[in-house]
Amino acid sequence: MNRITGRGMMLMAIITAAAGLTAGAGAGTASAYCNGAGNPVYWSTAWAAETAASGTCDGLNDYNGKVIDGASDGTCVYVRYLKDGVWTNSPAACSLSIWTNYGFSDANSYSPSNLCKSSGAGCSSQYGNTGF
Amino acid sequence: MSTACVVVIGVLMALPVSGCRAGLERRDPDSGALGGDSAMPAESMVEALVGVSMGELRRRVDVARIQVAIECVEQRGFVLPESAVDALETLPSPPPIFGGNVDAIVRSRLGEPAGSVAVLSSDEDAAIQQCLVSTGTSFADPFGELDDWLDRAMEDLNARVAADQRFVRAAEAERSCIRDLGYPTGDSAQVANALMSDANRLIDEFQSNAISRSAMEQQLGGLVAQENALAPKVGACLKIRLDVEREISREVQQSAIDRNGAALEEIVKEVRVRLHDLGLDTPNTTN
Repeated sequence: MNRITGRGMMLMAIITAAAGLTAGAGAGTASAYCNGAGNPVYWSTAWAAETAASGTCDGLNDYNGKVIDGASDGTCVYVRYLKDGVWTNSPAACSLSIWTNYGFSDANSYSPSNLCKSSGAGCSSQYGNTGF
Repeated sequence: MSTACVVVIGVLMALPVSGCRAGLERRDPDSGALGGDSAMPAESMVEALVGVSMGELRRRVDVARIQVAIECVEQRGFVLPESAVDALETLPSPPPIFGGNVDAIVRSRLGEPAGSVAVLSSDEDAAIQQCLVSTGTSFADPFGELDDWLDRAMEDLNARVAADQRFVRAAEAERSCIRDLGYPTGDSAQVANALMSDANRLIDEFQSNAISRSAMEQQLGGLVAQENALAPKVGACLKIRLDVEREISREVQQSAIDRNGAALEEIVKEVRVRLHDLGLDTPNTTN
């Protein structure tokens, strides 16, 4: 048997997220997480969106992205990602008009992620952020 | 302990969360933004029927899905150490509505990896990724239909909120509040991004040998102190608008329930059955 360290996922779909959905006010279409090096993919839900910084899908183990709130529902949003085997949160994004930046490094450039509501009212389905 | 970790500790002396490995993101649950606010009407309906809060039920589903993913990885011939399983099942509480931005930058760029990391083979990584993806489609979401209903009930929420004079007044009060803190757009994201930009610049300068480590530490410490001082003020500004948004959201949702409550009740009953089938509906004995 092979031995492996902490890798896992958090899968939760309060509102099914799908590529191409707009994320409400202020969330324009853009490339989001990395689906392998050099392959940014759009990601959003009905209430939040996340987008990758230009050039971050470069396989150098550091990811820079930004997140924006998309719904006037009284809750902020954030990204939950698996950083080196531990679930970690981005800072909260409470603005519907200005993106909030975040970034992290990961030893293997594999960080499954979710968009989540700060109220605890659930997270999006998981997306696999790889190749950053 | 690595040099980087020593740097982080030196820089983060003023932070409420300390340490380079254990304890990252293990915030006090009460610090979660707006987490203590009263439940929305549909959430109350679920709690009344199941006897467990919606937030707790969602957390249980999260953990159950992680367990499915772990089993999937093991079926592919890998073994997860106990510590790794524990780490995967420990979900951080939501972040505060403002704060921790400089902390996050410093930890990410200068701290040690947060977990007990070993070098993984490409086969191991591939197995993990495949399990993560497959679990997402194989584990039926017990809240799917409920969330669809909520989505439909709230689909015109932004427009309704924007047209509500309570929101108009609150949003202007929020902007004014943040402008008074010295940020001309009146948007909290500008505050957060300015702090993070400064932190990144200092680390860039250190890593390009433009400034010494001690200079970086000193200035990062100043940024942390600045953010800590700003956090309650920005948080108070944000809550002016967020509280009104939540109140209007509650009204919108209650209106939808009033119009079509019977259908929602049937959906919630079905949610209860699915949770029971998954063994996730046991009464909460810790809260």
